[in-house]
Amino acid sequence: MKKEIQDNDGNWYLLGISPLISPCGKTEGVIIILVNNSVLKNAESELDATEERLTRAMIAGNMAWWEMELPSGKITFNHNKTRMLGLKGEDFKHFRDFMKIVHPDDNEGAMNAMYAHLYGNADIYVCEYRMKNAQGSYQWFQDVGKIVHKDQDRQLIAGIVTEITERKRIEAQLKEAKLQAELANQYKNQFLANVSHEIRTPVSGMVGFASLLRKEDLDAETKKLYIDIIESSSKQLLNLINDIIDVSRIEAGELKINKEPCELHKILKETETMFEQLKHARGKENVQIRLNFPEKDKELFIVIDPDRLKQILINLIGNALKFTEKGGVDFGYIIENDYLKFYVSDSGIGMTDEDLKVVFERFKRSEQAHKKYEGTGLGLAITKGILDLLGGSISVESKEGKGSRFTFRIPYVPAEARDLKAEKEQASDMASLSGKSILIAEDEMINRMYLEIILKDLPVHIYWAQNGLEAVELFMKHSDISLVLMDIKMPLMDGEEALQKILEQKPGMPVVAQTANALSSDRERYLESGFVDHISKPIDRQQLITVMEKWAL
Amino acid sequence: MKKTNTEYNKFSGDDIGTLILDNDLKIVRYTEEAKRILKLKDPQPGQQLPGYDIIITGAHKALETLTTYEKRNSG
Repeated sequence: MKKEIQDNDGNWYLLGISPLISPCGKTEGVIIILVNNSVLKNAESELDATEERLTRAMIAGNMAWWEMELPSGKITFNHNKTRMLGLKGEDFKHFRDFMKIVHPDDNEGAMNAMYAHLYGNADIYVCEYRMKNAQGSYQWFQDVGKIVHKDQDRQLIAGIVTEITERKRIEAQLKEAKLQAELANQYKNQFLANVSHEIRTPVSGMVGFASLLRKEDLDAETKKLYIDIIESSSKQLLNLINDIIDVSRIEAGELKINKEPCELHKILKETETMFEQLKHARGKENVQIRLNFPEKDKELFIVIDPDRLKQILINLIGNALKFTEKGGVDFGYIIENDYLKFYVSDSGIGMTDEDLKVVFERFKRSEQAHKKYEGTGLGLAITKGILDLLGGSISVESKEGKGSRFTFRIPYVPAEARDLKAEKEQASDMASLSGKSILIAEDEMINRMYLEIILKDLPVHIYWAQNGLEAVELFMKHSDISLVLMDIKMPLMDGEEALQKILEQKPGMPVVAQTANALSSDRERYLESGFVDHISKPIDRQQLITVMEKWAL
Repeated sequence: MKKTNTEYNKFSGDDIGTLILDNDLKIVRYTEEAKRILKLKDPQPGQQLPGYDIIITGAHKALETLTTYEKRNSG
């Protein structure tokens, strides 16, 4: 007896046997159906191929199709839906199984979107929600669907779900960037308004008293008074400009922090000495300046930006001294956990609660300060900005008429004495520069003298050019030049034009821009136009040496 | 009978064979395709279906349970 059915041509057959039941319900026999398996097989493999193609496309597009039957709530879906979440498809049979992993905050939105479509209030069902993946974190999805079948008993909704986590991330970034841009613009307007106001005051003083000086019948004392006023207004303006540069650098993220090993007690003592002298110049002999720190006789080596630390101390102590007529200004530090906790306290005029709220904001000055004392209202904003960059923080306590106490913390990073920069500089032997010739184009005499001083000890030969034209001429004349240091703003021919002429002569010649424009946008522009590097004035000796060592041919 | 067979043939198409047996599993009707597939030599109504254990077993099951029996061949 044959157990399987195959015809003479070797085709296999699918067998179906059903009872044959007459209209009156009597079983009359069986009906046997034989279907060529190869036909089925072909149809099936075509189906499989289609399914495979669809699945591949779904995976490529981070998508999956789904169907939901209502009212039963049963779902069928392409396995990529659970695959994208790292979950098993078998665990999801009912739409509630998916609702369990939808983010609680998105649940209501998803349900509302579905109901809106089911009740005919929306042409399609569309929503975005997060689902929890196998690792327990959430991924974003966009879900779109539509009713594809509807009769009295059931509805069928079919749709596509797409993974959009990356798109969401970019969207969030864009939103944030837009917000930042709006804030920056708002800030810029406010900044301009404030700056114009702050500039007008000293400038009107200068203009006014300068014209008063023209009068011929002035006695020597009055003249001196007017000149003093002009001078102090000029200084105020200069301070304001320096502060503005600092603030804009902080805002633009351009303020550089150069952390290096240094000795803290030396910095503190230098600051103390500086203010001891300054208080006499300011007529504050009655104010005691006291420095306190633990283990005074020892040295403490830390890693910090010493210039910025000094700037913070000078700002705070300068303020304290300014607002204190008698009593004292105390400053010092303690080590607390992993932080250096500094303080500057005074017995000066203090601040009201209202003042305290805005004390670290730009251009905000306390009522009292505004009336009696000069200043730009930028000092504390700068201090706070620098501390943010150093990973620190600042706070203040104050009572009107009693004095103020500023406390700031900086991460304490211990250093070894042998790490100090002086030793590091010695270590660089500059051997690679030995015998090299360098062409420097610089039109300002003072800058040239400065460069001569800092390059004095280097084993290099220097050709000096006073403008771009001379630089090009010198370059054509001397073939031994291995590096060009180029000022940008120069008479006759500027640095950028000279650079092009030099590169025409010798493509690949390293030309470094040296300018007073220190913003990074300028730097990018210089690099684009063909400079290999850029250093900003005032030039730091070590930085210059590093650049020369790096680029000299 | 012949006429009826032709009708079945028309109805059944190329690759589908149809065969009807009575409660005693004797042949009632068949299509040419069924005849060809099962290699039946001029079968007559009322004759026992020869040689196919799998059909006999399936038919018994279908009659017992009054449900459809399906078997897919390995090929």
